[in-house]
Parts: sequence; structure tokens; C-alpha cells
Amino acid sequence: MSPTPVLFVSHEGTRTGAPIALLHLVRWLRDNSDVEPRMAILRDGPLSADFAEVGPTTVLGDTVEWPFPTDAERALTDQGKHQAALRKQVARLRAEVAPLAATPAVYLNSVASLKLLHHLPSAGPVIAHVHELRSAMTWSLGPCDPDLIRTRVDHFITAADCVADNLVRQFQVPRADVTRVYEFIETARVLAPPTRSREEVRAELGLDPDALVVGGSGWADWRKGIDLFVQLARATARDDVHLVWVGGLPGGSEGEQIAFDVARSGAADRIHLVGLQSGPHDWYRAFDVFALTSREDPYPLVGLETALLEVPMVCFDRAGGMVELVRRSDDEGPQPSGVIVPYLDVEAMAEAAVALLDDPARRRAMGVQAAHVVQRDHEVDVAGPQILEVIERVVTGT
Amino acid sequence: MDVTVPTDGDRASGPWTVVNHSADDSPATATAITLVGWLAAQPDVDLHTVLWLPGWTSKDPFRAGRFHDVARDHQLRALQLLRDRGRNGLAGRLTGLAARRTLMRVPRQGVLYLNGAACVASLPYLPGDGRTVVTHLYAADRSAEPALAPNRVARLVAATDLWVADDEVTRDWAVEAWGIEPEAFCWVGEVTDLAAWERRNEAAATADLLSLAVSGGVWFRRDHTARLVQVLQRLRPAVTIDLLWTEVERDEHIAPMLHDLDVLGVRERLRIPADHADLHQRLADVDVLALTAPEDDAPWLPWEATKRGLPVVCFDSHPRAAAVGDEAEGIVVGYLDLEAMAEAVIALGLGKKEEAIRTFDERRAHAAAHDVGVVGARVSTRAAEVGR
Repeated sequence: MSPTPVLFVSHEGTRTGAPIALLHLVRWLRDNSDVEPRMAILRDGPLSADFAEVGPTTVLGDTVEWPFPTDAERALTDQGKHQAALRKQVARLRAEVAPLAATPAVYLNSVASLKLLHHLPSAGPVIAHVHELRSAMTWSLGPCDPDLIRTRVDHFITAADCVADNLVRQFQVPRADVTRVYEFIETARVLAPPTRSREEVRAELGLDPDALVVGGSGWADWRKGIDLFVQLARATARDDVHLVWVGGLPGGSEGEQIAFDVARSGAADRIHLVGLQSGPHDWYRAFDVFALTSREDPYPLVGLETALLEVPMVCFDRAGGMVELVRRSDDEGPQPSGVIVPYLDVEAMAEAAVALLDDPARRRAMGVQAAHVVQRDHEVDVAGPQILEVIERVVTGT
Repeated sequence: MDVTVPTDGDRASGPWTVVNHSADDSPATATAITLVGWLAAQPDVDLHTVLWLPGWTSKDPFRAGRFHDVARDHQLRALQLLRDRGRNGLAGRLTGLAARRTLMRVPRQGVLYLNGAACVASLPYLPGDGRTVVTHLYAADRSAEPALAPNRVARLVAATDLWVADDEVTRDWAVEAWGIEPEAFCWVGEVTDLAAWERRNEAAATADLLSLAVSGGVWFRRDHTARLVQVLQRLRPAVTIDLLWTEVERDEHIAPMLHDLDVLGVRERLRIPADHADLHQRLADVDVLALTAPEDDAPWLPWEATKRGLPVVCFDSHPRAAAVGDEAEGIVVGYLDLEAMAEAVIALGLGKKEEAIRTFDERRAHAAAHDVGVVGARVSTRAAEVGR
């Protein structure tokens, strides 16, 4: 069979959930199918090089948003020739995007990459892999983008049932046009031998080897609930419980707010914001409980990775797909894999976390069940064939 | 300090002209509104109000009595066009003419109450010099950047017969910096409206529906809104929240808050204003002001709320915390202690808990000492003495 070129579009090349999942997918497709991945990265990042190892990769920079004017274009504007400057900019933008238009099918790896369709008016079949829930979709879409969802996308893949529900509700997408494929990870990478032990990680924080650790992870912002994580530290109110956040920390006023909260929380000596880590899995292994304080998180990879490392989870109800993971494992296994508490109820989350910390046997059983479900349902070898089936169906029109 | 409820003999009488600098949410404007409200209720007072510059809140509170709207003169389209063309000198002269015409009917006798040092700008345009001039100084006057020009200070000091200071620090500063005699101050302290204050507390004690206003600085807007939702979550369903904001919010500022409210299914319990023009009026309709922001670099709204007798709940990190605690304006809770904040809101708003009753009495005593009737009568009496 001849290879089928497909243009995979990532909204950025950062080491964040959706781009990482796409990287796993295109590697799997390259090795296991006739799909020939070609990549377009709308905003450059460290993963761009990894994508380039898989196949031809184009980094568009700011082109998709709007190109910064060249000197010649700026000179025209200065002369009052706005229309002429505009025409030149549009022509330049189209020239940069034109090579991508020859790809017979497009796979958009997030709603945030939807904007590229504005510049690919004659692209073939389009699949949109939606990782976003309502707020992220609302904030990332331009005023004309919702029409693209309704008119240009042939099929949707969603990272969780809640994402599918929102897509149907928010954009009136027919349910039949949506296939749910749970988020996936490369389990072998997560389970690779650690470079540091739990004790070494604790020592790095100045903690005793038997200190209890509640972990959180992600870009420390409102969506991930860093403010709630600080409140969680306050609510646990136990000297032997430490809260460790692994993930990027914002600067500016957002960073100042976090620092202010930590300083005034009464738990500053128990809160450890360690920032981005090159070996996050060593840190995840050091967690006794994973606290997902996200307000909106479709299906966070860190939730899968910590579960795979047998760390039980506490999370908010109605905040995203991790609830589906916990409930699914509750239904099927001898033990639940986590605890769900009411949305924003930090006290309930603290109570659940402390109860787990105080019951190592229950904690261990939950962790084992969580790892079992992740290995069964969330390996790229499980999700890859499901997505491949959608690609083949949409591209061939069968 | 003597606490007296004004009698008929103490009431102000004759012409009173109250000049306010602009329609805003500053402590000065809040005081002016309280004073104007009281004067308007005095049967023997011929009340005139002057608004010098436009602001961002409603002018309506100044329409009591006869309203002289110089703010409108400053906004005349023709003058704006001149300014746009760089003709500032001509625009200034024409604005002066317009202001002089607007102020022609201001009484030449009685009390002229300049509410804030910046109101000195109006003096050259007010006809006659047969009045008793009372100037009310605020903390903002001593910290003004840039400071009032020396020639304007000299003009204000020369024209003023009696002084009022919002606090002792401001009085001491004026004595030191401007050479004012301490005896020239006829009142030092805040001004509140005890009657409105008591009505509110009586209503709150029996109301089943509690209205909670929240305010905070935009700088900390996200924390502010996030905590607002968490407090709301902890309140019983009968509680609604009026979102009061000292800054005009944009959609992206409140979008995270709306997300949380939607997930919790309680969005209908939050009332968001369409605009801020009726800020003072809306503040009059709520029971408790909760400061859910950790900090606020210009906490004017809580200051105003206190003057109206509204109990305030805030975190101990808030700059208003010292006043709230020391002067029994409400309850201070530990930073991030949302359960305590919610409890305090219920306790103060419904007046059903011992803490609320205790603070009610303390706050009432404090409010009574600063009642506008007490202050107005004192100023009126002293003004009459000076006039004689």
C-alpha cells in the first residue's frame, strides 16, 4: 500500500500535554501504519526537534496569527498606502502556508490549531483531536473559528467523554461525528528506571525520608488551581505533610500572587514549588498522593503518569476527565484508584488526602488499581489503532 | 468626644453650598453625599451643590437642592475640540467663562463647604465673598501627587474660616504644613449617617435574603474572583452577591469566575453590574461588604461602606484590616480562611450570632459619635459664630 501523507498540526512545540500526546501518536503511526506524518507547528518550542525526527516539520512562527510587517510593508504603511501593505502581507502569509496545502488530509491536534484552516481553504478531509474543555476552547478560539468547527471539520476525536459532551453542547456538533479516544502515554518511558530515589528527592527538599508528600503538577495557573493547592496545604494543617508542586511558575503579577499566598498561608515551610524538572517522573514517584487541583483539565497526562507510578489521586468532581478515570476503575477493580471530592471543596480534598496518607495499605491498593487501568486503557498501543481507524475512515471516505 | 443627637436648635439653616471635586468613589465624595443627604432633609437649609469635574460615578446624589454642574462645562464638545487642536489656553479661558456663568446663582451668603483641598479651584469662579468658608481635608489631600501649588494653598488658607479634617493625622499635617491654627478645626473624624446605618441593621436582622457586596483591586483580580466563588460556595442558598468593583472589569477578568460559578450551578446568585454609574446607590442595597482580595492599594469602597454603616469582612492581609478590627467595623479573618469569612458574613449580615450583636453595639456607638447630624450641627454652630 502506498503511504498516506497526513498533515499533523500542533498549536505549539512546548513540552505540554497535547503536543506530547501528538508526538507519541506520530511516532506510533510512523512505526505501525501507512500514514506518513508531516508536521506543522504553529509556535516553536523544544518539541519541534523531536517532531522533525519523525517527519518533515514546518514551524510557522507568527505567520498564522498575522505576520509582522517587513520594512518594505512598513514603508508602504508610513506612506499611507495601507491597502497595498495589506496585500503584500497577505501574499507573504499565503506563500509560507502554500506548501502545506498540498497535503491530502489534515489532523488538527487541538482546537488551538484550528486557525490554520483559515489559510488552507482547499485542504482535504480534516480531523480535529480536541483536548480542550469549555474555558480553554472559548479563550483560544477567534471570532470566526466556531464556524470552522461546524463547517470544515469532518470528524472529531476527543480526549474524554466530558470533552465530547462539551463539543456537542457548545458547538452543536453531531454526536455521530465524535469518537472518544482516551488520552495516552508511552508507559515504557514513564516506567524507565529512576535516576533518583524517593529518599533522594526528599533530601533535596530537606525532608525526612518518612515525610508525607502530596504532589501537584502543571503550569501553575488558575486553570491548574495553584491557588487551591496553596489552600490545600493550609487545610492539611499537619507538620509532617508537605506539598510539592512540579511545573512551571509564572512571573509578573501572577507569580507575585502565588508567592504572596504561600507566604501568608501559614504553611510556607510545607509548600515546595520546585518548578519545571527535567526528570519529573522521579518527583512523581516521590509523591504519596497526587492532588489534581485543576478547575478544568480534560485528561491531564500527569494524571496518567502518576497513576501508572501507583500514586493514588484526589481530584475535584466536574473538573474534567480524571473523574472518568477514577470512576471507571472504581467500577471495575477491587479498589478505587482515587477519591473525587466536590468542586472547589479544598477542605474535603485535604481530608481525603490526609486519610490516604494515614492508611498506607489503602493507598497502595489504590495505586495498584490506578496503574492497572492506565496500562490497560492509556498506552499509545491501545489508542493508536483507534485513531488510525478514524484516519483511514475519514481519509478514504468509507 | 461628645455624642449628641442634633435637636431642632442645632439644625443647620440658611444657604449651604457644597462643592465636590468630582463624581467618583473616593472617601471625599462619599462624605459629600452623606452631608448633602442630611442637608437636603433640613427644612431651613437652602441647599446648593457644585460638582467641579466629571468623574465616573453618578451625579445623581448631588442633584439634591439646586445643582450647579460645572463638570458639564468641562466636557463641552467645542472646548474639547479646542484642546485637541492644542488651544489649551483658549479652552481654559472659555471653560472659566462657562463655569462662571453656571455658578452665577450660587448664594453669596451662608456656608460654602469645600469638600477637599482641590476644590480651591472653584473659588475664583464663585461670586461674592460674604460666606463662611469651611474646607474639609482628607488623607488624599496630604498625599496628593503633585501637591497643591503654594499659591493655591495660600488662596485656600486665606479664604477658609473653618476646617474639618477626616482624621487626626491629616489635621496635624495641615497645622504643620499650612500653618493652620488647631482651634480652626471644628471637626476631626469621619462622617457617617446613623439613621441609614440603623435602618440597614434592623433590616439585616430580619431579612431572609442577605445581599453581600464584594470589592477588590484589579491587580489581584484573579485571586479576588476565585475567593469570591469559594465564599459564595460556603454560604447558604438565600445569599446573593452583588459584585461591586472599584475598577471597570473586562470580560477576561471575570471569565474565570463565571466558569467556577457555572460548574457549581450558582451563577444566578451573582449579580454583576452593567456599569458603575450607580455605585453609591447599589452599595446602599447590600448588607455586608466582603473584601475577598488579599490586598488593595486603594481601599476606598470599604471606607465608604463603613461610613454607611455596612459591616466589613476582610482578610488580615488587607490594608483595611486594622481599621475593621480596631474600630469594630466588622470582622477580620485569617488569610485564606474562607470558612471563617463565610461565617462572618452570615454572622454580621443576619445579626444572629453573639459576635454580630457585640460588634453591632460597638459599631453603633462609633457611628453615633460620627453621625452627620452631630457633625453638621457642630459645623453649623461654629459657622454661625464665625459669621457673627
